[in-house]
This record gives sequence, structure tokens and C-alpha cells, in this order.
Amino acid sequence: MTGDLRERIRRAAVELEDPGLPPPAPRPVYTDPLTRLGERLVTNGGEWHRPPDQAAARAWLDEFAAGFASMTVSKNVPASLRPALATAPPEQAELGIGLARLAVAESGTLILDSREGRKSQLLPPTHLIWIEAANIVADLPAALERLAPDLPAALGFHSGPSRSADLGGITVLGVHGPGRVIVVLIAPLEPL
Amino acid sequence: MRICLVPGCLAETFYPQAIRDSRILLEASGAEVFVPPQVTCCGQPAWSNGHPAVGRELATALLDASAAGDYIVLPSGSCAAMLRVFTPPLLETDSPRRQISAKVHELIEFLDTIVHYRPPTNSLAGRRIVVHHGCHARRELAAVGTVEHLLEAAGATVLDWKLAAECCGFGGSFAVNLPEVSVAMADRKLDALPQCDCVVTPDPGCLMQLAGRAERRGLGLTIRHAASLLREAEQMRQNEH
Amino acid sequence: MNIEPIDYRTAAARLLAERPDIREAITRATLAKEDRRREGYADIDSEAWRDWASRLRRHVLANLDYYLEQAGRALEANGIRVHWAEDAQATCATVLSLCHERGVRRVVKGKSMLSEEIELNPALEAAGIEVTETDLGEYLIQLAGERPSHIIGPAYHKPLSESQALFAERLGTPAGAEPSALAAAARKHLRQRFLAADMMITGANAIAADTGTIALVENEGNIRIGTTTARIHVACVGIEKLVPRLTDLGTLLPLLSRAATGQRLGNYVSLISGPRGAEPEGPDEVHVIFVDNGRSRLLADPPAASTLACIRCGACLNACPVFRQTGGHPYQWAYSGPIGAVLAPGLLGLERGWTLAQASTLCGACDAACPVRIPLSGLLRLWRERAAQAGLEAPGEAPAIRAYARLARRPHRFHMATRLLGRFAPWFGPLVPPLSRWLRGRTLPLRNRNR
Repeated sequence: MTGDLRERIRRAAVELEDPGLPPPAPRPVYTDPLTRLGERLVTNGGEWHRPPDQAAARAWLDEFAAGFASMTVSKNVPASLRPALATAPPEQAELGIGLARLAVAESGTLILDSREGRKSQLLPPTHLIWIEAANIVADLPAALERLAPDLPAALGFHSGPSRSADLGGITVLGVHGPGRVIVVLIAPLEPL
Repeated sequence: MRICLVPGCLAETFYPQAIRDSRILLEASGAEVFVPPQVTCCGQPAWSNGHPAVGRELATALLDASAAGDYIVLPSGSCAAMLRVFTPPLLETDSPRRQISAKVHELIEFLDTIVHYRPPTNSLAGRRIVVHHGCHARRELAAVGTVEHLLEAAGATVLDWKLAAECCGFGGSFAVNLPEVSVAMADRKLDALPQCDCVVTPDPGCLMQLAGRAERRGLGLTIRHAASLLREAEQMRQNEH
Repeated sequence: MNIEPIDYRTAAARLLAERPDIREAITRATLAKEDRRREGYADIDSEAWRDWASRLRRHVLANLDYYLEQAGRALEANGIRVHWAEDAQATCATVLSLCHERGVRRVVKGKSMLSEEIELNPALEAAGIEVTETDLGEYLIQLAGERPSHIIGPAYHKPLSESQALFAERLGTPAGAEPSALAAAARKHLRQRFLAADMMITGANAIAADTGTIALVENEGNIRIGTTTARIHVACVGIEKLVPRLTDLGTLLPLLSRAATGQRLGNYVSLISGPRGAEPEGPDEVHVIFVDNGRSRLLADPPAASTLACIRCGACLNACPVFRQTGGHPYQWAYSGPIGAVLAPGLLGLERGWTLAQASTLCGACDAACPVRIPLSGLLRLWRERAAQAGLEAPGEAPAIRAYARLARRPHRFHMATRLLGRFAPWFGPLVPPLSRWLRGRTLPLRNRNR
């Protein structure tokens, strides 16, 4: 900051009343964040699956993937959660598959880390996101507290499909990002 | 109980009947009513248009002239808000006028919540009424519900209005400084009205705006000061005696 | 220099007369968003959240030098280059020199009101750089050669039929195509622009001073994509847009989203804490340009400084019954509605901006909507007072107030005058302002009609 600007702002700021940092705003307590996450995500226009076990998840995946010709997969997704599809560059793939770092129940939000690669999260028209049950937190401040010590270049918070109401006030999906977002809850994964 | 009835400029100029109606309603609630001749304007036109010193001067003069009342009642939510809410910040912290200001009420709110006036049962039975609250009565005085309460007590049906909370576009000098936008705002309100027998408002400014626009458009609507409709209801009781 | 005040009234009157369809589109959009905001406030303790946000933002303003220094250090430590710009010209010059030094030919943009404020697009285009707005509404506006009419919804004023015609002409979509088909055409076209872009320019919803993180909220994903595909990301940020801690975003961004669209959170949030570094994708460089452009002067004005608490949600525009008739164009600069009317004299100067403070009935709907509790109607009144002190008033207003006050001091004459006025105004009104202006579209009540 130039000394001039700094000095001007300092002189101005000191004249203003400082109410101090506020204590946290009150938040509702969610007894069942998993269910809440699913509800909220669906409200936002996303799809939500909760297979009972790993085998069911795999079975669901194979059936789901049959509807696509190509995919791009984040490097964080283990082999057991990759369908048998041809891979393609993110610019061309029909399906992107990733693993969320965290999910936030209150807003139905999946938090994606840029270290897994960003294009697969954004460019294909459909995005499949795996989320481990252990990584679901109740609210956004709690999520940010967990994320703060280890911030990547970019975190993406995805709460539903890409949408716009700029055309005559009518909602359209898939404007830029994926028009379809599918989130699947899984049991804790073995470390890669 | 002595009630100082303050007419307010617009009612005094254009709706003197509403002042007479207000007086009848207050007297029906058992109070002694007086109108001090020294009372003029609450100062709001000056205050809201960038002349707070003039606003303060007129507001304090009005409070001084009304001080003898146990309550100070105005058939105008906007003027009542000026005297009760907007004036104290203009006064010294220890000004005795703060106590006078605290005695100020909007007429209908006063009738409903302070003296618990009730119109005769069924006196407005079968009437379908829409209520408009001025913005200052709505926000600064939290008066929403009072007119409705009295009308329903008289057996009227109070209808929902999608744009009930929207400003009518009066806004004092706004109405003449930006007449085109002001009229467009009134039109929005009027166009959203449900089928009704009558629109009432406890604010003469809003009344002038909505009635003036409705008449110019030839909408054939009846728009009245709330005091006038309630006084008509009260008349039924007085006719019985 | 003779500065012309913004003539809202004439522009508004023309719009109302010539473009009733714009009024309809704006009314529909703002009423819908106002409903969404109410719903969004209803499932949180919105009073407590607004108290929290109000306090947080005021704390930041009262310590702005401290948080700017902290943010500057934290951003640099993250590998983000920090620039400081005094005004619009310096900001544009900074962006242009980055473009020249790095051989930037193609720029894509996320929606940024600051960029409108400093008129960045014309500056870039004059230097031969291709600029593409990527927010769908902003893209529409760019194609049409217009200005945004709303902080959040730049194309709220555009009837669908106009967008259809525009897309048919420019993107070759069939006449009367469905919105989904229009969006698909825009997606295809803009995707190519993203992939070819050298630089992505955004604003910022906030910067967390502790971690040096840029926060961006959106619904389309264009900001996420642009900040992924371009090799350079430049964020132009007002100096006031700080929060002390990353965790503050956990409440501020949901509150912003609720106030703007009623969503619990915008469908996409980007938290950017550096260039890609060793990561597989993302920009090689990230720059933050902190822009003053009059803000430090407004900060030095304690009665008006709370204006800078604004988080640009647009809730006051959606709540404002005046804005609802005209949209943002008649305000004739980047910010419109109540916040635009109090920012205009603050940032553009009293002489240019005072007229916008007249474009309000002081109904207070904005105060009730603002998520950070900016006392908007109080500030509108403050600017009216300052304008009056500077002799800037509607023609005849000052003498009228003086004459009125003189009359009000003499009760006997006052009461006589009200009787005369009430009786005769309907007859002589057409000849005498301001009654003649009242009579534009309205009648005067007949005093003795028994109502």
C-alpha cells in the first residue's frame, strides 16, 4: 500500500466507532446432518444417493455410468469408484467424477479442492461427486475452520447445478458449469 | 383523560371531515378532546427535505402547543411518526419535550391499543375492505393490524392485497418532484387491488395520492380515511340511542 | 468545472412513457426476488445475523488500514500479486500494463460492478483487447450494447423477446427459441472464449484478511471456469471489501446469498488463495488490485461512512418501490436503487449525485431489507440536507420551505391558508407549481365533499 493511501485510510478509520468483532451468529442445530445435506442439495437442484454399502455403491455406479460415453476423473478418486468408461480430456468428456473434501449440511454444499484438478469439476455437462460420511459438517463456519489450515489455490463450493434466470426470469440449468450434479454418500475410504 | 387532537396539514387542508370524524371516535371512547389553535405543522416536510433545523423548530413548537394533553393523537401515521420517532433524535438528550413526544399516537393505533375502542358489532357487516398503511406507520410505529382489527370487530372483511406493504408513491415533495414515477407507483398499487367496497388508510398523504390517482383514471373506487369509515360505523350506535 | 447533476427524473419519465415493457420486467423480477429474500431471511434468525454482519462490517471499516495491511501481506504470502489504485484511471492502467507485459489479447470477465464503476471494458477495448463478459446476463447486455440495470441481475430489465431476438441475430438461434436453447447456444459460444482466454477479470465479494483468500459467489459457474482456464486472474476489489477471518465468510456469504436471491448459498463459491503453483490446473498468476476511487474520502466522512459496509447484494434495489418502476438505467451509473443513490454523492461528489437522493419516498423498505443494516433512508436524508446546505435543491424548493415555515409560525394565518388552499387549490392548482405537478396524473380532493 502506498504510504499516502495508508495514512489517509488510517486517519479516516480512527474517527469511526469500532463495535469490535461480533460473537458468532446463532445457528440452528442439525441433529442429522447427513439427511439435511441430501434434502438441501435436492432443493438446490442436485441429485442425492445414499447406497447402503460399498457393493451397492459400485452397482449403482456401473448402472449410472452406462448412460455416458466418456469421463474425466479426479486423481483423488480410487479405482473402486471409477466406472469402466473411456477417459477423455475434461473439455470433451461427458461425465466428470470427483471426490469432495468436505460437505456442508446447512446449505447442501460440496467442497471441492483444486488439487484434484479443476476442469473435471466444471467442464463436463454432468458431475458425479463422491462424499465420505465422515467429511460432512453441519455448517459453513465449521467447514471453514477445518479448511483454513490447509488451503489449496482454489476451493470450489458447489451447491447444485449451474443455473441462471437472466433470460426473461426463467431458470435454466447448465449455463456454464454442469447442468446435472449427482452426489453419492460413501463409507470412509482406505487411504490412497 | 384529555386528548389533544392534532389535525395535521393535509387533513386540515383537504380532509377536514376526517378530523371531525376523528374527534367523534375519540369522544366515543369516553375522552375529552381539544384541538389547540396554535398547532400547525409537525415539521416533516422541512425535515425530510434537508432542512432539519426548520423541522426541529416546527416539531418542538407543535409539541409545546400540545403538551396539555394526556395523549397527543393525529389522524396521520406519518405526522405521528415524525413527532414520536424522528423528532427525539433532533432534541437535546435531557429535553423535556422527549416526554411530550412519548405521548404521541396515530389515531387508529390509539383507539385500538390504548383506549380499546371497539366499533359496534356488525356495523360494517358484509363490507369488503382493503387497508393501506403509510410506510412510517408500518415501519416506525408498527401500526399494521390496528385498522384491520377495528374493521373486523365491526364485522367487515379485510381483504389481502398483494402489494399492501408497498409505498403508494406519495413521499411528500417526491410526489411533485418526480410526478411520473410517483404516479407509476400509485398505479402499481391500484392495479393490484382485489375487488372491494372500499379502500381505507389512516394517512391523509397516501389517501390524497391513491384517491387522486384513482379518480384521474376513473377507476370508480371508494378510498377514504379510516376514521371516516369507522365514524360511519360508530354512527349506527349513536343512532340507536 | 461545471458538473451536471444526474437527471434521474427526465430519464425515468422517458422510460415510463416509452418502455412500459421494461417497467413490467423490472417489477416482476424485483417482486420475485423480494419474495425470495423474505423466505431466505425466514429460516434463519435474520435479525441476529444482520446485527452480526452490521457489526462485522463496521468493525472492518473502523480498522480498515489494519485489515488492508494484513490482507496485503497474506495475499502476497500466498503468491498473489497485490496492486493499489487510487482511482478509475489508475485501475484501468494497472490492468492494461499487466495485459501489455504479458501479451494478453483475450480477456474474459466475471460480473463485477466495480468494473462498471471504473469503465474498464471501454479502456481494454480501446487498447485492442477482446473483452467478453461471461455472466449470461452481463453477456446479453454486452451484446446489446447496454449497461446493467441491477447490481445482481444486469438483464432484469430485458424482456425474453428481446433476448431471443438478440441471440437470433448474434448467435444464430432460431426465432423464439426457448430459454434453455438460448443458454445452450451461449454456453457453446462462451466455452470457446473461456478456453482461448489469456486473462480472467473478476471483482470479489470479499477478501479474508487472515488467510489472504478471495471469495467469489455466483450461480452459473462462469467465474469458476474463467479462474481455471485463463493463465492470469485479476481481481479488482474495492478497498472496503474485507472480512477479518476466513470463518467470517461462513456467515457473510450465506447472508449475502439470502439477501440477493433467497438461496442458502450461491450455487458456486470460489475461495481463491493463490496461483496454481504445483497444482495440475489453474492460473499461473493471480493479481488483486485494491481500488480506492473515492472510498477513502467517503470513509473520512463519519456520518456517511457506513455506506461502505455494503456487500452489493441488491436487496435494497429489490425492496425499493421507486427502483421497481424504472430499474437502474435512469440512475445513469454503475450503482442504482437506494445504495446507488447514497453512493453517488459519496463517490461522484455532491454536485453530480445529489439528485439521486431525491429519488426516494423515504419509505424505509430498503432499511428493512439491508443485510448489513446500512441506514439507507437516513443517509438519503443526510445527502438531502447537505445538498440543501450547498444550495442544491429542486427549483423553488428552498424558498417554498422558508415561506411554509414562516406561515407555520403564525397559527392564525396558517389555518386561514389551509382553508383557502383546500377550497381553491383544485381551481388554481393547474397554474401554480408544485400543485400543477401534482395534477399531472392526479386530481386534488374537493375539500367540502363529504367523504
